[in-house]
Amino acid sequence: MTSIQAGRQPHPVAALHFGLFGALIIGGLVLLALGIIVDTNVGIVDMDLGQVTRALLVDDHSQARTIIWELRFPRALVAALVGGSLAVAGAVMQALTRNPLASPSLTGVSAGAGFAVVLSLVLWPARPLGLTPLIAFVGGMAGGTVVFSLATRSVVTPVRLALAGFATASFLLAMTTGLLLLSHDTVGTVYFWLAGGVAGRGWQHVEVIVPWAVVGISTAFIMSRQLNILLLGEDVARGLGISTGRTRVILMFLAVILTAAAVGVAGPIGFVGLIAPHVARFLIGTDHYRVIPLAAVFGATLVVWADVGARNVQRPLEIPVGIVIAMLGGPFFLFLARRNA
Amino acid sequence: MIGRLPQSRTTAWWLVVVGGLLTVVAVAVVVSLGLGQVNIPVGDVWAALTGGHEEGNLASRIVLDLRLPRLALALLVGAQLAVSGAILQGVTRNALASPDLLGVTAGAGFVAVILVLVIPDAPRALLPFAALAGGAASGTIVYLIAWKQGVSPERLALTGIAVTAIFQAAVTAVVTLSVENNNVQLALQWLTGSLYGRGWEDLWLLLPWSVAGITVALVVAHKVNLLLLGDHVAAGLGMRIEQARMTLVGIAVMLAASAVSITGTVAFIGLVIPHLVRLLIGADHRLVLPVSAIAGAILLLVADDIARTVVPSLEIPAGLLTALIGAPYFIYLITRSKTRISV
Repeated sequence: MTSIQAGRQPHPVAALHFGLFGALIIGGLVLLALGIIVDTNVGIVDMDLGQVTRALLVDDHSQARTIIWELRFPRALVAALVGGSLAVAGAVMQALTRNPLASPSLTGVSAGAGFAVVLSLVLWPARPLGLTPLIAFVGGMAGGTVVFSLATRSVVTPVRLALAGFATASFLLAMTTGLLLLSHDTVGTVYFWLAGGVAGRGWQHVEVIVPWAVVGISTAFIMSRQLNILLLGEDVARGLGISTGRTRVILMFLAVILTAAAVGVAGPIGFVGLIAPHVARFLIGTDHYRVIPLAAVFGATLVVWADVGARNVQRPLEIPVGIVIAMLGGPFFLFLARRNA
Repeated sequence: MIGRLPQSRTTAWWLVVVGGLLTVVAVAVVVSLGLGQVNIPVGDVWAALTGGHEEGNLASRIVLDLRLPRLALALLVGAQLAVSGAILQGVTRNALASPDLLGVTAGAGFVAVILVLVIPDAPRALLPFAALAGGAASGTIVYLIAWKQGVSPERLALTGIAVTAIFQAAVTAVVTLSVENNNVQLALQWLTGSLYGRGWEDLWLLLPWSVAGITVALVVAHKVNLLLLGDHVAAGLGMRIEQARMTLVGIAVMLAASAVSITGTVAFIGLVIPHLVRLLIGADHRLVLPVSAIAGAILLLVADDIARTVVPSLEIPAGLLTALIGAPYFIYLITRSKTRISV
């Protein structure tokens, strides 16, 4: 497992370190841009790359422009924002709990947010879209309470944390399935939402997630120093003048906010928050000034490319992107488990 | 860690516990047979059971054909899940382990959903067999993946979580791709765990697994005690660690998979009951296993009674209720500091 204990410095020469970081960020962004272009290229109407690029850049009132600009581009954008938010949420949770297995889906935060949104879909189908992240936030806080309170009181082993999260998540999953079972009419749409996906997401969804994602990710970046210090342990952090109690609460809110924004828009997509921070730390070390931006870019890239896969596996049918990512993330988790325990 | 061994509880104390629980079972059985959309007085229930009614009497048919097999199934499934959970918590030395954790329920659920939604023409009678195979296969997969010169409890737990996540994603994929399918309700009901419509033939299917599984579990229960001392101590006492662990996990998997194959994925019994029992009688698994069996049977029976009766026109899945009962207890347990059974 890529250790999240502080002090791991893979490249002693700072200049080289920054060069590597820059290269990784740029490489990630290029991959992300490519992914967005390819993602906007897939659909029932086939277009070549030239058409897609032109339609993205110029408004020529053509049908291609409408399809690309109104349907496919915002969808890819939502995928990127969701991925970035989940990845940073995972990075924050892992530092906060000093636990490499903490992530939105393994702490019950995603499941809690998902349950709250399903409840609202069943009880209040006509609720305004902008309210969804708030609903998801409330559910996410409730879902994460068990694991966070466990992790804050003492340093728990990764296995215990994962077990607590697993139990919480399976409880919430049972509740969600039961809710669906008792509300016959909405099963189809709700279940598709629950699988986690960005199908049919448009500009209104971009508008919903952008403020949360931007504020959340930037705050996480700004608080990188606190994240780094928390990794040194409670005593050191206090010695360095950090009010650990308050910092932890703020960071926990931050992680849940980012998760809730993503879940509210795209449903509970798992594993992004586990994979992206791990890959980032593996490549660049544990300095959160670097881990946070890198994880955000990787997470965004992962979800966008997974969406490309989700749209191509069974054309013209789509499978939810959350399933594609679970198929990648499950084995990744297995790999972590084997290495770690 | 799961407490210390052996706890100094007196024989009298555990006789009281067992006696009390058995009394609860007896009362619950009589009450459950009478309760339902048609309430039947205790006297009539008794008459039906002892053959005091003439052939074709309505009360007698309700009790014997509908309620009795369902009740017996609830008892067996509850007992099996609880024993399975008790074994797994002992073997993994982790008070948070449960049959779900070994991927058993998720694997069974995956196969069941495939059968119900993808091959709708398949005979419904195949469902328990397919689910059993799926659960057992999934448990084996988890065990094999976790194997790295032996199976460490931590690796077993994490592997189980990962495999479960993969199966859950696959289940979601199948359900999502077949929302137009009329059987979705059936699939969802199965995924929540329900005893609705189960009868004698299901009971006969389960009974051999139940009897054999629980008997063997009770016979080998002392091995759990040894494993709880830690691998080094157990090996020092002459135990073949990996062999014992494999036997115990195998029994736990068969118990859980056969139970789940009949009712679908009933949650939380295997997690919560062994805890509760260890609080009552200590950590000697020669006692924990049988008492867990009784307590698990009670929990599922009561959950199913509530599910049947609280809104008579609506069958709430029993698995939903076990989750509702089990989860608050679990949260209480986990947020409590400095417990004898720390988590």
